[in-house]
Amino acid sequence: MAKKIALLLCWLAVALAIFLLLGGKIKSVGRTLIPVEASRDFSYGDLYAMAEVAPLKLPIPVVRSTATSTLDTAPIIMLGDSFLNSKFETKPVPQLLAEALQRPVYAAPQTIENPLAYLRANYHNTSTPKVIIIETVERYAARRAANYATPENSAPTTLSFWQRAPAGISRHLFDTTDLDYFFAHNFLVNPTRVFLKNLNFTWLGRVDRRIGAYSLTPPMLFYFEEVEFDQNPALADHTPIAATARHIKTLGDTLQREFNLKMIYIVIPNKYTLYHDLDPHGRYNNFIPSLQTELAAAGVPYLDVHGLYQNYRATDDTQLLYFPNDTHFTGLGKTLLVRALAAQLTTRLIDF
Amino acid sequence: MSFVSVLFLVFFPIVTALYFVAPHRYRWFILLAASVYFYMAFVPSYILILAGTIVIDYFAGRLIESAQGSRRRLYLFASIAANLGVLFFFKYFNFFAGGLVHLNILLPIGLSFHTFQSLSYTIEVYRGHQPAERRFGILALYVLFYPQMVAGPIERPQNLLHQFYERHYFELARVGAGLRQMLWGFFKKTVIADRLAFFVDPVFNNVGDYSGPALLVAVLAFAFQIYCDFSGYSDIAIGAAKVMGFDLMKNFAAPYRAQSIAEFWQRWHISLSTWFRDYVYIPLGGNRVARATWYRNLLVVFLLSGLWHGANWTFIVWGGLHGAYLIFGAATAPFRAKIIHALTLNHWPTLLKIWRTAFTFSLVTLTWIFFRAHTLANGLAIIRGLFSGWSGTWNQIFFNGSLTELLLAAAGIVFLLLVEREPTKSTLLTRIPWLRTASYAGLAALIFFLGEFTNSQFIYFQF
Repeated sequence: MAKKIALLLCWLAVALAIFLLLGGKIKSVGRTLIPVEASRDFSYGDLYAMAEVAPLKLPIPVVRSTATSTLDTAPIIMLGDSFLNSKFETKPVPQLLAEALQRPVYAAPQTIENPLAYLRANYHNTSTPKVIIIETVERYAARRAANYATPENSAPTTLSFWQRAPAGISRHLFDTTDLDYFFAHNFLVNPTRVFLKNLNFTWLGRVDRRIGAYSLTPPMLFYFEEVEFDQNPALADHTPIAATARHIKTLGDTLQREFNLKMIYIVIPNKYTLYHDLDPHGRYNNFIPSLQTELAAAGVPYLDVHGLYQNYRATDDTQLLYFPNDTHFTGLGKTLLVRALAAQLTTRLIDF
Repeated sequence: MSFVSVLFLVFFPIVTALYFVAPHRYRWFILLAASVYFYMAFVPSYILILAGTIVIDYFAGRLIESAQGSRRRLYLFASIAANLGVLFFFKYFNFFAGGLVHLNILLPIGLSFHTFQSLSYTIEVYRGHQPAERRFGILALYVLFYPQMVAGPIERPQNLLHQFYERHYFELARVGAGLRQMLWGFFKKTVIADRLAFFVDPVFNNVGDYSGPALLVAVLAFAFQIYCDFSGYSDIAIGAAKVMGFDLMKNFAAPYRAQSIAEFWQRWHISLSTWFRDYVYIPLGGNRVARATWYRNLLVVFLLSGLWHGANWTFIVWGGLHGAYLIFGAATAPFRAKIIHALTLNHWPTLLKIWRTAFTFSLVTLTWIFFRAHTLANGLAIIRGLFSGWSGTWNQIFFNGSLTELLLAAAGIVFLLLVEREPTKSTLLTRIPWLRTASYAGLAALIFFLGEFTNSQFIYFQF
């Protein structure tokens, strides 16, 4: 009897391997074997997707909207990362700003690493003075600023069949991204995996390694990159901060000279920067205030979102500026940003 | 392909099933194709380097066997030069160029391992201990056999080659034993080694930021991390081979229970230490020479062993320290015996054993500092730092890992030391089968519950 059970287990292992292979390599099969929990109307947030612990499973409404302005005609261009494109709770920031100013605002695709390269390839209306708002989240500010200073990537070269074929075969045979995803999320493994994650959280207080810190009162998850960034003393040194400010200043000067674009720079604070007091080991290296001091000294126009949010928390901390289960800001965070930005644009920079 | 990956979870059952289902005459081909895929899952193009050396060794083996006199030696040297040439080019060129020239090349994964395994083949053919392999595919399989190709055990042709011709049947007892060994390896890797990494990596990467307590925890943690990581790999490799009916050589035998450095090297990375013993130490004369020559032989072997691990002075110092320990141990053995006698410590064998084990562990741990450090200066800074900041900096220990993680890692180490006792001792687990099955089911549950799966790489992959 014991032998039969052991043999059955061996065959089950083979069956599971074939199941994973089929689901992980054939997308049409894989999709049918992954339970669909999310909806187009709400999300559980990027941090919940990593942690998957029940107390943080909080639905965030997703707003559907489409922008219509074009790069050449809009008087304001916004270029940034996922913070500009976030559709959680309200429309994205560029659309909110357009509504506030009653003027078209163009939102560039969020994957652009070097604004100069993007504009040189796509922007032609250099005769009209306009405003460009460059946004970055704090943890990528230094890296992105360094990218502004690097030579632009040359146009992608066209690969021949003999170059493409081995790469394609290699990717098909050895790339395991889909397989890994299917393993974690298929209907057989997923319930057990999530159960074990929650058991770890409840019994031992352990969460996924990508969560660098968390709080339960109020519930709040923090992405590990933010925690590492904010606690890295090397980033508080003058040298890298001065270099970052220098790169941003050069970018602003080039945008003005080449494209007739007046730049406003925005650094969105990491969630951990604003809420590190919720972590008993929390500390902050003061990156944004130090960078903004350098930007002010260099004469770079910027919007002090960090100060704005800190002031809000100091006067009324009843509503959150960032979602507990996502790295991005809430509708309130967006609204505060848009109000301040609209005020700065109308009073100081451009004459509509 | 790493053993700790979803791909291996798919690969292993399917390859094993195909292996047993296929007729005997095709099995070698299934294993070879699987091994090639296994290796190519790391970096596909590096398979060409291996293919080149296999072709050279195949013909070298045939030529050595058929030649007479000085020609045999010539072919052997050609094979050694080709294998070591590839190793030198990829691993040591930049080191020996000393900054004058720098080649931007990546080290093919596991190159040192399969180079040594290939060398043992041609050397054994030359010595007449092993007939040259007639079938190219079988020799390729000997070098590429997936369980042990990336990080050993470094096999000998006498032990492995003939097994590819043998017919292996699906025996549940053997399969069960192999799976149990694999499970134990996964436990050591995912529950202990990768958890200890939280206390090791940040400290060794930023030595200046830490003082005494955190440095001590990191150094001790690394001693167990490297053991659990490497012996965990070996257990999975040996277990996987055993499931398919192959016996690979033992690579570890509870090394931290050693009572001397000499004994440590009989228990640690056995396949490498015996390789150096058989192909370097004994040909140099071993210990059957004048005392000064013996000491020189020991030092040469351990310096080479250090260099084998990596092209960095840290590894050379690591090897040199082990060589120095052995020389010092051999030189002072009569003197130490007299002291033990004079202090009547020989009447307290348990106490003496504990002292010797602890002292040996401390000496070995000291060498691990250089093994793990990025530079010699880093290693020396750690040693200096161990004696500083013992007041008020204890919270540094938990900077990158919580108290829970530290306690779990410590519990894992205690569990490891309890389980890996002397193998001759009979325990309840060996006497009661159902208890053994239940305990391994519990071990599997622990892996799923407490395992860290974010790092699929093993430390010895870099060698």
